[in-house]
Amino acid sequence: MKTEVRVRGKDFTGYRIVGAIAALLLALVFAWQLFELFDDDNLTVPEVRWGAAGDDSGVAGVLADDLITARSRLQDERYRTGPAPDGEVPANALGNEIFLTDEPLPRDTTLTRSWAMLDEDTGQMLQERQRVVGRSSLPYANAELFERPFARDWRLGLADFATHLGAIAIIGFSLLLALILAIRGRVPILEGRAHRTVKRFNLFERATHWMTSFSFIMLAITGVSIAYGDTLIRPFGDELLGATGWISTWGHPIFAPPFALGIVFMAVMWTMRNLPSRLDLHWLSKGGGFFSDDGHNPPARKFNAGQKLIFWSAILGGITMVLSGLTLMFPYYWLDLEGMSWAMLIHAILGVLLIAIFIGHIYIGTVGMQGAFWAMWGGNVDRNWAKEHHELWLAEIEDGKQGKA
Amino acid sequence: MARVKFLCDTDRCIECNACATVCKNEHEVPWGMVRRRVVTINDGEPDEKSIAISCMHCTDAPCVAVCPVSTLYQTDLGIVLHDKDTCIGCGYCFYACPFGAPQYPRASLFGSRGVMDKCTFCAGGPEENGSEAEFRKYGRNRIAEGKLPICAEVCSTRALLAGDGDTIGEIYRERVIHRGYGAGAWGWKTAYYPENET
Amino acid sequence: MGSFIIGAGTAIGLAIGTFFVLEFATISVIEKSYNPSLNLEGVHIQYPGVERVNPAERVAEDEE
Ligand code: HEM
Repeated sequence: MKTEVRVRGKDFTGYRIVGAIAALLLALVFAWQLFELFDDDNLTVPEVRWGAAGDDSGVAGVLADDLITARSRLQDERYRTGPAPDGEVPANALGNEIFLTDEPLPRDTTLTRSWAMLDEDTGQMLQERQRVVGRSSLPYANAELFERPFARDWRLGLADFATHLGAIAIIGFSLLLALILAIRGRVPILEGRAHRTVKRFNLFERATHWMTSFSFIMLAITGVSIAYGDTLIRPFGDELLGATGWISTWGHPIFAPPFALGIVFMAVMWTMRNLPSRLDLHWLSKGGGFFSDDGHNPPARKFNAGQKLIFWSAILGGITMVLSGLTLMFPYYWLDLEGMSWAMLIHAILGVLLIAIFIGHIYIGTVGMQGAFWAMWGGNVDRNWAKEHHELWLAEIEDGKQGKA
Repeated sequence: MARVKFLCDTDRCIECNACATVCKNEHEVPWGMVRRRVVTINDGEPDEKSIAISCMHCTDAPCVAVCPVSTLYQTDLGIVLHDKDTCIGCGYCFYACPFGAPQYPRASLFGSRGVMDKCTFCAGGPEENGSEAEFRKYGRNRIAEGKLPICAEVCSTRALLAGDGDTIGEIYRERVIHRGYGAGAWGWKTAYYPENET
Repeated sequence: MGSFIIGAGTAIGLAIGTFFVLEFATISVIEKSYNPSLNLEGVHIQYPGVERVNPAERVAEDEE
């Protein structure tokens, strides 16, 4: 359909300036995150140093080193070390005096690196790295586990993949959106408003949408403050980190039920209209007409291909998040430690991906596209908006009305 | 500088569970948790072996790396400790641990798992060493007293060795040479030498 | 506007409800696991006959 173009994306100067400022800030954060990815702080280093307790103990200057090493030698064969009472008894072998204290140690990787260095003697006595599970007479969950080297890979998965790359995905995508706003402006209603509206979503649909999105945003905020608390909140104090930590661990699971309920309602209400069709291929191949203001938006029914993708990521992603989350709330009920590790990884990685995706959705739903927001807020959209973005749907409802009349 | 380690000689461990018991008693570990366990592999077969396992106080410790609130920290002796006041019970350390060391008051808490507990190498926690508060949260601080973990010091066959890694490694090697066989140091590659590929 | 208030309100209501359910469940589980006569540390799974392990309580019951 050829439309007469009256409003262009470039005309929204205020929005574009804000977009440019946001893009600048996000670019800085993005650069910092890229740097974090490659700097050398993923190695665990000791943060505390043992030292001799105060002078009143009478052994100032005795190093932890000497104490521990001397005591370790006592474990040698009995004919060498005792238990003969006339053997050498270290000063601290008896009694409960405190000899050592601990104090903070500045960040330094040399200790960790030297620990990881393997000398030949030790190398010869090492067992292969392997998963070892036996039996145990102790009646605790997981008591029969000896070793699972997979845990070290899990750590990489969580710390590098979910946390670092997740942050890059979220920030990078936001940066992209800010750039689009700055360069392209909003997606306009080309003909300007018609000031006549058509009904798009009923009250139940809208309330469901806001229930789900409110829960999702609460889940995202609490989830992010757990996953990134060390970076985002710790600079403002350990106390605050502790407080937000507790609020988040409680606040996160309690928003799962309204979210899950909303996902179910959405699936029931909207699945029929979101089944893929041939129109979607055409729509996608044209990029949804997103980048051009020439009045050639590809036709769509009620939901276009982009919205269908959003819908399916909400439904499939939401279900996966709810299921993996429930698994984590009930340890050992139906999965063992290995299964739970995977559930945790999936939960974390999919979580950051969904956050990135829905930042895109929120962008389009608010500043990104003129007139879209009112569909969910009041339920009615401007007729020209409907004509330009969902012409087949508009024809459907208007023909329907005329047919009835 | 000493770097402490645990080493269990599987040719000597007789699965008496004294280490597990004495640990629970020494630190008054709450019900439902164990800091040290004994695992028997190939139970009932000719090559049956028992190994005592707890937190191994790893090099480049994965639990410390994944902890979102920096509850876990390591000392210059290599001991990995935790701060029960900041722990939020998220369970990350539990998934990242190659030896199943972190414990929670009960495995099946609903909203939160409760605060994590694990082996401290008998070195207490962030409270003042030897204080009452420290004892109630983490158990006795034997390291500050210049002693070694009770599990190893109590071991009747001296299968479980604890202390400076070079020293106990030396003791173990001499022992192996003397008797002519030895299964090797179980778990050391995963715990202490993460960068050396198998 | 109205739809947002209804939706967000329902979400908050359900969340608060969930909070109380979770807290109740968690507290009762913690109480259970710290009560030696209720927490069998899993022994009852291996030995179905065991139901009470606290000797003090067993004596009290025997006297009844
Ligand atoms: C404040 C944040 C949000 C705003 C402003 C917003 C806005 C909108 C708008 C305006 C629509 C209607 C689009 C149309 O007219 O067709 C919509 C639809 C939808 N929203 Fe949101 N939304 C938000 C958050 C969310 C979140 C967090 C989720 C997922 C959990 C979500 C899931 C959906 C779904 C599945 C649809 C229907 C499919 C579609 O139109 O893309 N929304 N939203």
